[in-house]
Amino acid sequence: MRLCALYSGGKDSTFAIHWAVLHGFEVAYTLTLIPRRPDSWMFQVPNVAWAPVASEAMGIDSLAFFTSGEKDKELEDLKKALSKCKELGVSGVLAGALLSDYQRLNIAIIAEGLDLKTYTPLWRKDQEVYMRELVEEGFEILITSASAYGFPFELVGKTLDKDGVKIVIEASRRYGFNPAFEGGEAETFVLYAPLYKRRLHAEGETIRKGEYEWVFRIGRIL
Amino acid sequence: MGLQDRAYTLRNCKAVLADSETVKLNVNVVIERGVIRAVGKESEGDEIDCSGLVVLPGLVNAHTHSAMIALRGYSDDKELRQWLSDVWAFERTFPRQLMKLSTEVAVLEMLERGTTAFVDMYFNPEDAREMTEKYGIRAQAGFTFLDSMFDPSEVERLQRGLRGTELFTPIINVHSVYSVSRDTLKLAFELSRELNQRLQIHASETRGEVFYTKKNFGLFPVEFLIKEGLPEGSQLVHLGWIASWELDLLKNYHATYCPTSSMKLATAGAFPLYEAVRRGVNVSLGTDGPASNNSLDMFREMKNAVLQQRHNYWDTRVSAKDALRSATMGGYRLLGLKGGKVAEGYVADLVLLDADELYPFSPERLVSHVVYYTTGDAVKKVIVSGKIIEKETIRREKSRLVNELNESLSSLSYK
Repeated sequence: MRLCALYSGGKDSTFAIHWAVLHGFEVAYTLTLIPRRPDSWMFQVPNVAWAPVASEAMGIDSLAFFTSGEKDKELEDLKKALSKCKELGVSGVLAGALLSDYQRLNIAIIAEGLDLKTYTPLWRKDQEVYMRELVEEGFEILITSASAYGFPFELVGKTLDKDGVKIVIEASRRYGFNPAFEGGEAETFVLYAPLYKRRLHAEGETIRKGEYEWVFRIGRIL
Repeated sequence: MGLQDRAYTLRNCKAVLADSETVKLNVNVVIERGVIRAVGKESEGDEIDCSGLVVLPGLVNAHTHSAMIALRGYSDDKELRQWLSDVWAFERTFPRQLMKLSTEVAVLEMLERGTTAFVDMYFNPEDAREMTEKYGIRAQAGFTFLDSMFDPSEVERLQRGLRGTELFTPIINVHSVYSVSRDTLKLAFELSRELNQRLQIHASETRGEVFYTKKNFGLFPVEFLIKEGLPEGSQLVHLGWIASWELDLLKNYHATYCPTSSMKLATAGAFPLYEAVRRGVNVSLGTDGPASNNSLDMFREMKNAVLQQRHNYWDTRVSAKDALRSATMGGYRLLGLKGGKVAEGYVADLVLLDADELYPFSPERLVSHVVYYTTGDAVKKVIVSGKIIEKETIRREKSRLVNELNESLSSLSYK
């Protein structure tokens, strides 16, 4: 079955593609929606414009559309984008939703209206186990932003290793944020994963925007 | 058939799986007037040697469509929407006698495989009631609101005439949000309150249903039902596509999980069992109908429940004990009975398994064998409300009726 994958270049959408490929699906396209405003309900914002580069590293054709980023309008934008995917011959949508039913069910409803199937393989998985396994399975995850009280901000702009995951999990337990960043506590960009044909190198700068808001702005990917 | 009034004793049971946590070895179970009076060394009345048997609480099939035995294998390998269309086409001309015969065969099949009570959603609840009297199984059933097939006022009229007995309790059945009008839904809710009968409805079974309710009512199915006034204590079946925030609304309702049919019909949903139990929701287990499972064996269902959870969530948070609790305690809580446990004061609804079939025998492995290994084949007897039902008796009767069923179906040219 040919799928299009909702894709930000972050760990969840990349892992969902990883799952799909290992389950016999053909991921024909990655589909990236680029919000025009920073507080999108549905889509990742920081560094998402780089997603097509990571898609190319996996050898998957990428499709990118701008979206308003406003709560209801962005669902309309998603519908238009998925219609385009349907025209291109896909029969299902893949999404990396972890725990947000706002994302998962809105995607399912839009897809149902277009007669597309939905796959959300990460939904409700144990978040700590998931984080550990990502690193153990060879995902090289760059933290591109963080905005949660108690987050180990020194990790922003760094690639997560096993020790980094341990630090994140401990902080999440202590300060009560989601260890897999489901609530937007942090955003990520995958530099290497088992499906990548080449390792990406990101250059950029870490910006401290406030006491609890740090961003790593990617300037160039090699 | 009258209930067994005099006290009697299941003597020297090789093991009693009292509940999901407790195994007692070489004990007696004293039963009197349909209730367990003692579990231990006491003995009273007639004694039945149980040294080769393992006793566990009766299994409740919390959701089925018993008469669909006639449709077993009729429309397989289709997704729910297409399957339902096939089934409804059959049901529009389903001969009344064949419906009754199917329910009778289903009841015998369930008893034979360890089910002591079932909750039915179909169009012939009087037959289910008759079978409780004839064979001694417990049942809850009612006429079903389904607008494409029945006039809702006629369903209401019939339901008002449906009487309960000691083993039979009428319930209000509503097929689903997408198969009845909003007015019918309101009517069913009012009837449930007025007659004090629990309401059962399929809910959040498919993406299509979520799409339908969101599009038409702006809400997700459970949200919508509750906003419309779903009576407290109602039973919501399937919930494979329930949203996390809807789970928080379920505390005063019952949830029934049917893992096999959801997998067979490729609904792609998975009831979040762990999350529901953690929130204090009462969860029971059902096979769904014999046309969508296609088995009515609750042992298989328990296993499939655990397997589906693990396959979906990639961890072992849901265990064999959870499945056993749902099939026993959860089921009896749904029925409103003190049952699902082999302990003093609980209803004497029990399953007696051949201990030789649970090998290698070990008290520590008993829950594992019951959930992961055995099937209804290992059942030797069932006891419902203290009345002993021998498997061989059931089997002989079933065999005769299955011949009738086969003849009826071939004479009607059903393939």
